[in-house]
Amino acid sequence: MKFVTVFMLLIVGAQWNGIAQSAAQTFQPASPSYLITNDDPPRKTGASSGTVFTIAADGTPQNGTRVTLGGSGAGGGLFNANRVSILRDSPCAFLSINGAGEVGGVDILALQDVGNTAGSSTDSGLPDGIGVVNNGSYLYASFSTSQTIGTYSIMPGCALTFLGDISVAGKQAGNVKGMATHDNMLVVAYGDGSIESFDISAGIPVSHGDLQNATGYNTSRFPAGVDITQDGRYAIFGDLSTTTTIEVSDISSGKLTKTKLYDVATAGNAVSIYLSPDQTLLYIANTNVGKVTAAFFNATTGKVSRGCTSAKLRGFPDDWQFLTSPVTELNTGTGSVLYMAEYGPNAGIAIVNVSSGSGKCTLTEAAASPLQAPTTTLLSIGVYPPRQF
Amino acid sequence: MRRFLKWGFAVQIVLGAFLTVSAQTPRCPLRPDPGSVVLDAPSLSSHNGSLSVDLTMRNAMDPLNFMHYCFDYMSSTGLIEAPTLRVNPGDTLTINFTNDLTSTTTSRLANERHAPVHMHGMADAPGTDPCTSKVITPNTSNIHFHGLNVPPVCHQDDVVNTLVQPSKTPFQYQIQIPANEPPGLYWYHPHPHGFTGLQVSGGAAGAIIVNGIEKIKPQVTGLAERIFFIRQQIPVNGSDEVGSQLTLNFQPAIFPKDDAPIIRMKPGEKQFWRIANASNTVFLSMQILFAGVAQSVELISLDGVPINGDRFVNQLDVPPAGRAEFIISGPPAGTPATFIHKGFDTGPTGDPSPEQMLAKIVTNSNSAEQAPASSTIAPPRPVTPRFSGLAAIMPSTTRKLYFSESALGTAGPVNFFLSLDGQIPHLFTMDEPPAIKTKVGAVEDWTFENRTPEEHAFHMHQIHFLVTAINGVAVPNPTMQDTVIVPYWTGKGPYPSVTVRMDFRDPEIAGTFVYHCHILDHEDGGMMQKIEVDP
Repeated sequence: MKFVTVFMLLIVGAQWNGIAQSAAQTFQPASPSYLITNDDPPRKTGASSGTVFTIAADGTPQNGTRVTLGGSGAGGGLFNANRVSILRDSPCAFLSINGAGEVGGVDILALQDVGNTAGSSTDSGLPDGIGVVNNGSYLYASFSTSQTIGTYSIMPGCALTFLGDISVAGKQAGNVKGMATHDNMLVVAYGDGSIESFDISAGIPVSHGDLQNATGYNTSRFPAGVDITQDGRYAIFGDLSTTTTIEVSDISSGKLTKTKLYDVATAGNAVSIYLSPDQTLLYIANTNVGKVTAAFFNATTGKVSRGCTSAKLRGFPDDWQFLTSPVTELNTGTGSVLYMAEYGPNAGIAIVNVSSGSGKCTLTEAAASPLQAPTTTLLSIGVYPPRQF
Repeated sequence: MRRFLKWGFAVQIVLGAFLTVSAQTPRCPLRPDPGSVVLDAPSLSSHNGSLSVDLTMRNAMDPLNFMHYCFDYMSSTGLIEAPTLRVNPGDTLTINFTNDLTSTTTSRLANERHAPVHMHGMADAPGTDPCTSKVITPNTSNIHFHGLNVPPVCHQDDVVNTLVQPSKTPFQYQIQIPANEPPGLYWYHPHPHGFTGLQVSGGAAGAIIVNGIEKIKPQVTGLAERIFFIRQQIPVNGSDEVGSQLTLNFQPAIFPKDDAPIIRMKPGEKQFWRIANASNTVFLSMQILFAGVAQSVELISLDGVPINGDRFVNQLDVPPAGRAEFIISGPPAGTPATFIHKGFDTGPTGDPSPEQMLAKIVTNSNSAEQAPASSTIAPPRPVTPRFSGLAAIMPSTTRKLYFSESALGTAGPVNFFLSLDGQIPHLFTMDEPPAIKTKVGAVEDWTFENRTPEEHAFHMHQIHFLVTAINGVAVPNPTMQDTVIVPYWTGKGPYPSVTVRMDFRDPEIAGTFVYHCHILDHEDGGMMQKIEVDP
């Protein structure tokens, strides 16, 4: 028995060493070279997986390679619980395995699942999924059903070690709908009208005691998506609403302050948002109307103003088609090209060209869009290397 | 759409506290097993102008993990559930209502489902006076007298302010049935905002019969009467795999998973069926099939109001909360016959509503489940018929309202809005001011647009309305209703619409009351507004 154990340890150690070496080979081109999806197939239809695409010179994702994660997916859930979180300085992607309540680490270069890590025994991501974000040192997973945020240490070789979880709830008892990190700050939107920030300097989040209803709450607009500016001065929230509403909180004090509300379009809700690399545009996937909006953002003042909205993307309208998870092709300027996840019978990866200048912008769907997705349940994508904030 | 997942979680939490209680004492009567003969609820009839009933609202868990909410009545023969209340126009109906709910919960899950955003402003401390209590919890209850044209004030038909907390002291409802109340089928059910769906799906719903329909529709005289309540029970685990179940007079209608309920009739016998759709979400499309062929039935009444003229139909579409009364002829001996819901297209994001057999109709020469409809006596009262001349009146005001929704995930919309045209949608809160103000005497035309990809069921408290147009096209045979189907939007073209004529002429209905979608998840989720009718 001892022999077997030692033998197994040797094998595991050898495998670990190989994986660690692969992931340690830092590969950081200036522009994203990989697009990673969390395929999140429905339960009972097979093991959960992610797919890694390379990005061609013209921005088209290609050569998708499926990486099986094991465990089961959820086949849907919250639009903006981002199920893909990618390290900035190492080719590691973390994909939530929503049915299993685990997070899988994927070595992007090796195209290999490093291993899956569970949270606590009570952490549960069904039916709405598990959102994941990282600050380079720790990964945070929002478990929608158990209403917990799990904390994981990020280990070499894309591995994770579970540290513990905390129970969280919004002022109206909502669970976490969206998260974003900036250094030692974690900002959360509960989707029930309230928002909260946490100190994550020691890993496990500690509330700053600033749980509050956002300004939109009184008019039935509920922050759900979150992004944070590069300097950590503003937290930006995308609202669940019948109009396109953004709220901005000055967090330069280290805590959330009363949000300012901006109506930027009439194209539908704004739960999936993403700030362009140069912070001049805020991309908003108008989830259920098949459009994407770019609002102008002033990183100095935090002001948001109306920009442009795309035409309805191909494949819409289908009432069970949704558009989420915008990310950009480039890590400079406006990002040049937007990728978004499409969920539903016409699912795919939407590709939208961005142009901006002289106070105007346009969003035009590329000819190759949508790229066929690995599954029809695509809600989250990411790129490597990701935006540098 | 697909809200049962969260709904089920809420139910699970709510259950926790009373599981031990239900193990000690049966709190609700046993409900019938699948495949048994369908029986009508026992009736309680008024005498000498009044009917007084003691009802206790309780909850209990059945062995199959369905949670029951019961209007309990202790009869001389034992505990019965949701008795049929029979009254005459002009009678006084008194209900001494005791709230004995025990499902206290502080669960975040339950709260998130049921009280996410639409109760801000409510007081934190429990109130004691049900007329001024501002507290709504899973244990709060009350009674809405659905369809009755009676005053919206506390102790009568008020759901805006009347919130009855658990107490051993009964709360008294006392309603005078209007002398010109149309004879027909009405119903009573709880209406605590945020928890209505939970309680009604638990079975808390019963019939009110206003006697005298045979004086307007003499063809029902002497016919055996059946009262069928189609409810929808939702399993505790709430998963899509289990799904909800329709029930017929509390008997699961889940064929072929189990035997279908059995309705007995004599061969060829005419019966008067009075059917209420007391489901949470199901738009019923009902048919009677003989050897697979849809049969024609004579429609008598919709939503408690006898229809004008003779109308024969072979399919009846009834929204949640709607009622339909009709005459059916029994099948010939030996002919297989069924009563079915043929399925309903609720729209791309609507709750699926597949075909379901509701009952097998079995011929039997000695069926004894039914009572003659003409056994009641409606005193003759020379009154002006309600709704008279409504169709010819020039409306004083026209309004446009619309249904809209927003979604946070693939499980379907989570926020439901009913708004005036031009108004930014907002979720209803109990403490908000009325969205519409009007005056007694007004006759108004309202058009509802559906800007969502699922059906809605508009319901108006206190009054009926005349359905005059669908998608702008005049309805050939307008009917008085209190709940109407508003068709879904396909995503292309103009929004579907329904136009109705509201009748605010009765001074008795002055006050503040609500209108809402009667898909109870939508109502609880905020798709509601208030109207103030000033004297």
